[in-house]
Amino acid sequence: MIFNSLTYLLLLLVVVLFYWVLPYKARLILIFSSSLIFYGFWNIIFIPVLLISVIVDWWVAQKILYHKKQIRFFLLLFSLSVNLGLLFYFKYLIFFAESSIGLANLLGAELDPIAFNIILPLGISFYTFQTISYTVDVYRGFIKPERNFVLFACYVTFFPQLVAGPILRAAEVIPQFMKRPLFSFNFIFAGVRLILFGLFLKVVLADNISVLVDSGFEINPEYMSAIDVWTLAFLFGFQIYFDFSAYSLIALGSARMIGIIFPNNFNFPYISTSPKDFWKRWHISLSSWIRDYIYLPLNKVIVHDRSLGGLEKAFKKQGNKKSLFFTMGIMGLWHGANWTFLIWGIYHAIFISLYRLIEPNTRSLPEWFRFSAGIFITLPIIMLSWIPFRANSLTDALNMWSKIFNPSAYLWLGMRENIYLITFLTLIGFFIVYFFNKKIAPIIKSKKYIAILCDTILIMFITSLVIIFFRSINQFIYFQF
Amino acid sequence: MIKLLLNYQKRISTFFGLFLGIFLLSQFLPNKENKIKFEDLALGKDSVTVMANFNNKRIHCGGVVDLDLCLKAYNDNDVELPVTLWLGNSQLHAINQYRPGDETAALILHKNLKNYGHYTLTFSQANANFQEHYLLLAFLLEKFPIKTLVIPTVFDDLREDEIRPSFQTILKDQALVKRINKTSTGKSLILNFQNIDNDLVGNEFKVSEGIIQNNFENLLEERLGKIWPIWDEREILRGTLFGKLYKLRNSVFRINASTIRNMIPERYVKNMNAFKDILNLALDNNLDVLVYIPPIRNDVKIPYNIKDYDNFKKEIHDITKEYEVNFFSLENLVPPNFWGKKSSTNLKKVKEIDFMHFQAKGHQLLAESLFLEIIKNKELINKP
Repeated sequence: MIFNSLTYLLLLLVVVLFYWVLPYKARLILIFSSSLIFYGFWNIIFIPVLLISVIVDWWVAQKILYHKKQIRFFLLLFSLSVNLGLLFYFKYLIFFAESSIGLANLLGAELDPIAFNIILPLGISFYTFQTISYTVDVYRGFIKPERNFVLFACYVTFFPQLVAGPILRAAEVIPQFMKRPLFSFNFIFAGVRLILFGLFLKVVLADNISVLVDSGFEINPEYMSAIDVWTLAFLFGFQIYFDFSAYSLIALGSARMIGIIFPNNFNFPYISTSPKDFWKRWHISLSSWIRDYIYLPLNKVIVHDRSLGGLEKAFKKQGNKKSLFFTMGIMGLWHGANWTFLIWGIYHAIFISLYRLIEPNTRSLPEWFRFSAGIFITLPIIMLSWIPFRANSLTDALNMWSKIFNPSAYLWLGMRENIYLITFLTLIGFFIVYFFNKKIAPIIKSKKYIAILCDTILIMFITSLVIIFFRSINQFIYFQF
Repeated sequence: MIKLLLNYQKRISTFFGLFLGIFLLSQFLPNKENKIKFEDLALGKDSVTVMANFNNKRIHCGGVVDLDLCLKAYNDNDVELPVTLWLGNSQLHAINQYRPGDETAALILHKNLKNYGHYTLTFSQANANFQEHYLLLAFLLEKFPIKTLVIPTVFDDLREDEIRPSFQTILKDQALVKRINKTSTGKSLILNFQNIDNDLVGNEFKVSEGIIQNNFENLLEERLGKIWPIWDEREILRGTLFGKLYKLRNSVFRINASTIRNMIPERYVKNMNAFKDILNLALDNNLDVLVYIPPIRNDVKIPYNIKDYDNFKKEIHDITKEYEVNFFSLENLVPPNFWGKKSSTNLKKVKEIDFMHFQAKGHQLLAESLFLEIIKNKELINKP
């Protein structure tokens, strides 16, 4: 089921209504069953795959508590094998087989391609990471295993975050499910607002931009100018940001309507002052997961157990370069089984390494200058990274990148004029919203009547636009990961 | 009361914002006369779309969407008449300064050729590009006994690349897919539509199409439309909104109908390749082909880069020579007084020059010129 559909809004309405009138145990059953309905609307045959992951990790966690260290380790390995095995089979087997055959053919063997008919279960990358974090946290002793199966199943399958995150830690969510909050209109209104803003980002901005992005990336790179490449990089950067942050906002809002609070997954990522800073602002729950369960263990560092962050407190030294490149490579491949995603991850690792080299020499510079120059340099670097992420092939990505180093490719335009205009306006709009949010909004909030008036007008326009553009035609980009 | 208001400010603003948002929509909804179809936006109010009927039967269609009407009209004939297929853009269906009784070139040509035992069938779509023409020709060849193809080469439409969603239905025809899969244009069109059809190919939604979600969603959409009419009018609202944004953009950047439109390199090449594929397809099916440069208003500076436009005309001429098909230019056919103005394309109320759509007398001239060129072809005249 997709969020930008009437079906989802109806399901949410029914769940919220019943949730607040049912007793505690029935609430959990309602959440679990509605999550399965949510998932089954896509394809019912993958519910067993989801349930295998849930059952294995629930069972393993119970056993870990009562066994000795060595057996606990084997139990952990068992859980990881099942989860990563499923992920590998469904997501990476085709890529692995094709790459192996390609390599073998390159070395002289004449192997025919193998035909696979594997469909990737929706959200497997998200819920696999979530269940892994739970088992690892139990193994590390951060949390106690949850004895109530339905409660644990709610944590993994909770429909707002099931298919595209945020990737939540058990310590953040399970205690909230255990509470029995009293009904408050605050939950409902806060949830409605988040959903409304999320739908605005999705159906008004991301979906309309996607038409331009799709047509742009269909162009043969041979006919693209360097300005086209920059424009498409920026435009896709905004599309994916609006699309994914929209999903996160709707997830946050849906959960909020039943009294569950999720951490924020985005924090103005294109205002990042360095490539490292970007990963503290973009898909925060994934980057902190990667940090806590891959990067820091590789550097033998004890970690916190929150998806919100906490890196500074836990880890002051810089990790080694190998672990950085490995981690970012995994980060790339998590997004998709393709070399283009690996390149994307490695690209980020290169720029984070460069930043680490340069950063100590900039400390004497004025703070305002570091901030402005940081954004000015980081933004194009980040935007260009989206080229391999979106390009139709690795060759296309490399051809597009090569254009930006060719001065003669800056002398003409290869797309419709509207694309440049909309990209420019979106960029300006993004900075205006950031500035408004940081500087103007606090002033308005202090003047209560004006705040009510401004807020009402804002909600009015957003509501109108969401209704006009509401179409369940476009999936969220992150559903494919 | 004030205290209450301030304590519950978020709730109040959310509640009233939602309410006013819905109310705003009902105010924004244009009345029936003012509804703007997005495709007709560039046409303006001074030109009227006229899809011709002959003896109350459709002989002029707006694309795949009303194909059934043209097919039925043709099949109602007692004998199977050879078909002259005329493909084009809005120039064929729009009459500037329309008056009741005015006829389009499509209808006039149909009447004239009827006397020669030929059935003229016209398909025109706003800003139709050669890739769409190619697809349509390949499809119509299966449906009608086409003997002659008439095709204008409109420089402006070479800036277009989008294929209308309505073509998706005909691309489900496997015979058509097999036929067009031999050309680069065909392969590209098939690939694009497969991508749309599968949504994000190879991803987690591959099998989601048309299953529970779609069926349920369609049902809810239908029900909501019945309860709340605005829901069904959202396409019109989107058109109206885009129309206003289009005018705003034009005002800010001082764009009007006379502003020079630059050629878009990749689209130009794709469309020229599609043009060659059209000629190949037509010749493979033994069609007589007439290619012409359409009339354009020539008493004022045309909105093209002259160098690009001249290169384009030369290229078209060279291609038609290479393929040995009939080519002629009707650029200067329609005199200035048979053209007209169009409503403003920006927020100013000043009327602008319409370079594409002429008055009924222009249609008369176009039809007569084409008729003369067609009957020059001896083979056609000799046919019953």
